[in-house]
Amino acid sequence: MRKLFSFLRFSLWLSLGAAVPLHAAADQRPVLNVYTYDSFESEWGPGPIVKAAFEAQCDCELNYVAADSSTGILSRVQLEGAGSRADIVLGLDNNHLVEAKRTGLLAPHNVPLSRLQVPFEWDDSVFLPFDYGYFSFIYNRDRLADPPASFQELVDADHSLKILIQDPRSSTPGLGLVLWVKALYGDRAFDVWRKLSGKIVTVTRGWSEAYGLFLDGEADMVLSYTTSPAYHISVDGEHKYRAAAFSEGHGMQIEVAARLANAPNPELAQRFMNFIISEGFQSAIPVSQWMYPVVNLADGLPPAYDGLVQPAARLTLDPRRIAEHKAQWVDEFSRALSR
Amino acid sequence: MFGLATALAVSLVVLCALGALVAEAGRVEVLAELAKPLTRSIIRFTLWQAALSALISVALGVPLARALARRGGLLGRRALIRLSSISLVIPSMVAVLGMVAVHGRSGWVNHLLSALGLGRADYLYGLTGILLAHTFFNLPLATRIFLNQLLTLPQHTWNLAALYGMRPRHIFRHIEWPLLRGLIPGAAGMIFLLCFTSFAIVLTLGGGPQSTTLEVAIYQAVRFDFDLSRAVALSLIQVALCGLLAAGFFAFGAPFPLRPGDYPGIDRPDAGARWPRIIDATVIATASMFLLSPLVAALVKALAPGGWSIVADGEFWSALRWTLLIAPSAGLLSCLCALSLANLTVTLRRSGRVAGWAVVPELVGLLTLLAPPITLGAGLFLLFRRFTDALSLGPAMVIVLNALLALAFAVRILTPALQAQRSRYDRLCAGLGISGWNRWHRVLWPALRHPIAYALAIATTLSAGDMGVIALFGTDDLSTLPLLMYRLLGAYRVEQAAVVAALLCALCAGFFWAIERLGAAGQTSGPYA
Repeated sequence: MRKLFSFLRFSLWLSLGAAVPLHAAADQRPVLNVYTYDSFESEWGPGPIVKAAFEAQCDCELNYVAADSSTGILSRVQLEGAGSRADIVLGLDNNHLVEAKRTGLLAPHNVPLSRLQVPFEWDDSVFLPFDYGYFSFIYNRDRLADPPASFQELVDADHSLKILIQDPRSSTPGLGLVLWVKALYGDRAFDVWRKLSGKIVTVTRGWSEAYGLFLDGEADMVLSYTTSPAYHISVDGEHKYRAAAFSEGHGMQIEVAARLANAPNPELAQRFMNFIISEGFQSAIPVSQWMYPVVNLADGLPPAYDGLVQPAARLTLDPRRIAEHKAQWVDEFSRALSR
Repeated sequence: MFGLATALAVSLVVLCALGALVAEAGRVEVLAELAKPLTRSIIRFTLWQAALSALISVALGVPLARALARRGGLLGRRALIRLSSISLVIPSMVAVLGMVAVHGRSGWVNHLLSALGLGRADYLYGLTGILLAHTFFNLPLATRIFLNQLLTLPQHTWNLAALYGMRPRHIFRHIEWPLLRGLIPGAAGMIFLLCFTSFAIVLTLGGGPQSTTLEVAIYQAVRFDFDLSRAVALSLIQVALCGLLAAGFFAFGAPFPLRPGDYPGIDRPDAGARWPRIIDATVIATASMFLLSPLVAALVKALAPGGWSIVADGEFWSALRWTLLIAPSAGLLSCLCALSLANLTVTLRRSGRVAGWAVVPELVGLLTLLAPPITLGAGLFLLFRRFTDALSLGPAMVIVLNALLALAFAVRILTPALQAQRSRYDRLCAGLGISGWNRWHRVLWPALRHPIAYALAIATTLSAGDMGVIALFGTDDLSTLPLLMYRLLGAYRVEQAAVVAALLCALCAGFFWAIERLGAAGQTSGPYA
């Protein structure tokens, strides 16, 4: 009995030890909470660069709260409701605009959109783009000599061609692919997914899992971006990874940020929104996020971007149509893969 | 009294959580949800994989239990049984990691196949992966239930069998099978329920929408779509289905007690024959290989030099500290609740007139096994955010929910023990006027000490390995070792994840060992031991 008590006392001490905050000597600077997804925040993503650059000018602390998926960012804020500590949500994309606005949790960004230098129209007053890119299947030239030249060729390819994709319910590229298929095939999307399903090794929760599996040799192609080869060229001087150019065109992704209507630090949040389209934030994008920046950088794009695939057409769908049918299209995808 | 309060509190927590969700969602359309083809295919898959898992575990558990019962003197038998007694509490994320290392595309099996020139087999993700992992967890459980029963046969049965010259198949047909038959529905039912609500395994090995269970669909509805009305509808479907099935199973077969303990070898007449020897050797070797390889593979990965950098990471220490706080607290809370529920059950059973009501506290214990933790968690979160900063309550909620989840197991362990002790001594105590603390301390505690420690150990280790609750509440500041593993696996830092897995296992083993030892220490010193 005494031993049991001494054990309990011991575990109580351990517990108290655990409860002591990690940053006991926290400084008094205000903290800006940015809710984002894990790969943005990770040490090899743009997170640390952006944090350092913003903290150098704001006299504040930038704190990332990483959700395990892009869509998890918004649902986390919804779950926390009005009491949320979030100032900024960063990492939703153009395919989530309408439903994200419907939550009523977001406020206008107040940033003059004329300063954007992008090849697409943007007039949204709530969401501010921070990068963009084109979905594409990446392959290893040494393993796959003859990749499909169009989406149709991919659909018709033999089932020995293995691909990795992401779950449209959790990942923005995953949803991007569902919409890409929808834009190309409309009512025939279900049959296209039936044909694709035999080639899909697994449907991962997020982009990083799928890409990791691909690099480990688990599939011939992975859904990523036309800009992904730039990473391999810049970081490890590796030229064997290529994006497959599809003749019908590529789905487009515009990643966006917004500030919360109930942000605990509204002024800091506004400063961060302005910071997003400044050189300090944008220069991190092509070298750590591996996407296109939304303004022209002083030094231009890195040389690795020179030979990248330029899409034959940029495929997007009307945001209102997406909001209306998204659940139905994702169900269609799930059903096609379920059988 | 305490029992009644606990039963009320537990049901209140569950009802409030559901109520808060319904209030937030506005409306809940269970029938409309049931009408969707996707929902129906999810339900079908959930039932199908759980049924297959239960079938496979039971079908393999019978020969394995038989082999272990026959081979009393086998080297390593004790270790294998010991290991299978903790299989229930091996963190699911550790098992998933091991499964990937053995059965993944670049796993051991595929290395072996390609070394033999057979090419690669791609079978891990999807139904096969789920079944493999579920069998990994539940084969030991089934085996232990059957073995327990086989070893209750007294030596003179075997002497008689030898006298009659019974052959192995006669022994099976006339002695073993009648004994096991009654247990099969209960064991299969238990495994079915565990697999029905399986979460982490399906989430990681399911391979996408083609194999989604209700539990995962609920998680996705909350976490990805924030579709609370769908989450509640799916939760109600799950609880109803699960409850019906549970009632069905337990009506057929008596629920078996979970018992700690060692399994002595018995001298059996059929141990010496040649064929049984060959069969047993094959069965035990195959099972050991299947059950041990994922753990060994996880360990081998952990020994790779790349992974240990995680120990230098602040994230790791934070997760370790939270695990050390959450697991023992949840274990203790769960044990206390289970003890008072068990006491209420026994009191009611012995009351004569209202004995029928004894199922109520038992059902309350079971309810927490059926209700999805994500739903409970989201409901409590919505409830508390009305009054306070719900985020700061995260740790408390993780503790409470983990305690609830472990309750079903703790109740299973404590009720039979308490029942036995009270039916022995209640009259004596009443006659001698022993009551209150004296009765507890001098009469009940000495016999309950061991089961309580076992229940505490199970509840603590279950909480340490939990993924279902922390998946919802986890943040950067609040993460446990399993969640850290999940994140590392997601970032494809497998070696680091393996190191965390090894440390998590060591921690669980440490908890188990320490608590069980504390319990066992009393057995020799108690006055009635």
